[in-house]
Amino acid sequence: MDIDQPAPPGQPSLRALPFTFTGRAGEYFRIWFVNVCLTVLTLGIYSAWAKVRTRRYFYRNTLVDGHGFDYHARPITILKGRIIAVVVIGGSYALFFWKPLIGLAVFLGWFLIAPWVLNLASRFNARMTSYRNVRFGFTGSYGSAFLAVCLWPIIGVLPLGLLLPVAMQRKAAYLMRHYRFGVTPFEGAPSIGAFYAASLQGVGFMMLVGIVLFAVTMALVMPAMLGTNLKDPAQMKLALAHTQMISMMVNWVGIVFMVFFIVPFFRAKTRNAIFAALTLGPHRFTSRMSGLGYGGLVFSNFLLSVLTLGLLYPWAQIRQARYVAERTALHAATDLSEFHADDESPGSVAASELAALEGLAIGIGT
Amino acid sequence: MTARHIRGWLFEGGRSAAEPVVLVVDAFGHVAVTGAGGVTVRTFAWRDAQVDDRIGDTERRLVLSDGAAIEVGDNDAVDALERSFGRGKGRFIAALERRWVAALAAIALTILAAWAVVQYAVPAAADLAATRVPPPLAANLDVQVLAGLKQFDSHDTALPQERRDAVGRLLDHLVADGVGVTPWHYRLVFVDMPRVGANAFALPGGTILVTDQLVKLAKNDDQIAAVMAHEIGHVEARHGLRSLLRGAGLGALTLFIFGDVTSLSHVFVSMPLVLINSAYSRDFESEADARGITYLRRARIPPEALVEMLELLERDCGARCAEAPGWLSNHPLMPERLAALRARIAALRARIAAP
Repeated sequence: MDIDQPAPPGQPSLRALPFTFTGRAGEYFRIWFVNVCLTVLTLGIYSAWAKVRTRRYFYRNTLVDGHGFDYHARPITILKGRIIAVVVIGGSYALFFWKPLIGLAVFLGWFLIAPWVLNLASRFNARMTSYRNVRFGFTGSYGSAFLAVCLWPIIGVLPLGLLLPVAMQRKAAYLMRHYRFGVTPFEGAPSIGAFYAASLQGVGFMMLVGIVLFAVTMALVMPAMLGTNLKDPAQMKLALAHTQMISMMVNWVGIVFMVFFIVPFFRAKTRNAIFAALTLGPHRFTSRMSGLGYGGLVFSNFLLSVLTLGLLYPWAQIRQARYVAERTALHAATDLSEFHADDESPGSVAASELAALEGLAIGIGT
Repeated sequence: MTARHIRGWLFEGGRSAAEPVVLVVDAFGHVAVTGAGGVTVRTFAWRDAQVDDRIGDTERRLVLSDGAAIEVGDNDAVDALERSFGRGKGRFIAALERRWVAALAAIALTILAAWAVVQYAVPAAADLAATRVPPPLAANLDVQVLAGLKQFDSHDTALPQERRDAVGRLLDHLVADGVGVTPWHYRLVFVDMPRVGANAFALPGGTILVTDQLVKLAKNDDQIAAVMAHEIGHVEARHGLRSLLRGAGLGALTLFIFGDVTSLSHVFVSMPLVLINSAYSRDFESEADARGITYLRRARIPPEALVEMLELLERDCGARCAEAPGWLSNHPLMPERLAALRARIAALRARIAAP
């Protein structure tokens, strides 16, 4: 597969280095089950060790130019961070429950510290990741993070959500511009058009699915309704129960489709746009994920995992990692030997765990 | 033991330049790092290097004291050297991860342990915590629930004041004579809920919510007292607090364990919680029934009133009670519940009749 691109004038020609993923389902299956088992037996304590071993397995198996990535967080650090995160989140929910006014203030506080948490978490995750013995880094300021993750989402929602794609593009651009590899910063901003195109397609899919699900519900409910004598309370009761069950199930199908097809579809499309714009010194990147392909992959992974009661989940994770890696490439201008480490502070593990638990998406897709 | 040769890549501290090297390890654990043309570029003692954990068959790093790192892929050779010269940590887990037998045993053990935790550990811990919550704190919760009620289809009661006072006296009588000494401060709240219909709810802190529709449905005051006795049973046994804390406990545990797993887990995780919670509340309903008839008897109200009231409620709810069957249901199936109640009352009567 030839994914090289012509060199811009005045620059050295680029060498295409595709990412590869060398993890194997059989091997990871054993690692995963030992992780799950020890986590349950230790009432969750081992989950920190499990996280590190899982990350290391996936990072080390992701290779570019013959070298793998690596993950360096110490499990005990993760455990402390996780405990702090659970206490903080649990505490603020409890406060919200007991004393709603103070609770409300706490949630407002959350809004204000979110940019700071995002910065610290991104920094921790970046600092714990290395390639070729050089750690990644992240340097973002509170002000620009506040704009990207607090203000833009509000601006985006206000005019009927029409500016939401811009808000998402702002966040992606913020993250891209503040990651570093050693002392070398990443640069670039993805095209807003790509975010609009991905959003429109996603919304289109959603509407299509909504119509199909509505038709299916009607087809399932109508026969029962037509055969019901509406004057008989017992029959009416049965018909209503039937309707409720069916609409509940159809609702679930809709939610699952949204989370496991539309969201990955959108991610694939925007990731392509992000990587197309991303540069690291003279080096460039490409991501050629297919929205439908990736959506279908995540969706089928979900179905297979559920149908096998989680047994195929490790296989599904490996399949997904391979798909993502094989569609990503680095276009290197040099032999990659020129990078230096820096000695920036390591960020905060508690922030990273908070972000993980609260579902704050960080990272630019690796 | 003869010298071992291991291929790897050498990185100087904090630099991305990779140099292909061969590590030559002698019988004493001294390592010579040789570069192009067999030139020794540095030496170190194996035990001074920090060797990363083996995870599957991935390349791992030896980190030297000056920050230089060597990436090596020959995991078996590194393991052998670690056994001879290393500090020997982290070997046990890696050994488990390599064996299929261990993985299969882990599956069985996981299922067993997860079942035990969900079935016994979490409820036990939550119940213990629930006994420690002081009633005034729980009453705080009631205020919130009542405030939240306005979002649902609930309106100010339309019952005349005398009727409300009469039901209030019923509750006082029931608490004073039926329950006796109690840390709970009972409070009666009437609401008009046309869509919910005839029903009553016990809030965790001792507030008993009775709908206008229930007061109108009841054929006599004994039947209203019977419903309140059942709700008092929920409060006295701290069912509200216990299910709240059980839910919170399971939530916190799953959050802790699956915190890192991405979106997939959110859907996975929340589904069983709903089912488990409804299984809890079925036990709670039967317990509240049992407690209820005890209170009724002590207050000299015939416990049969509870059976009558439940039958009335079932007949009344009709199409509104289109609830899912079996294990999805929140209340025990009515016939089962009535049968259990009748048996209990019969046993009670037999005990009273016996000298």
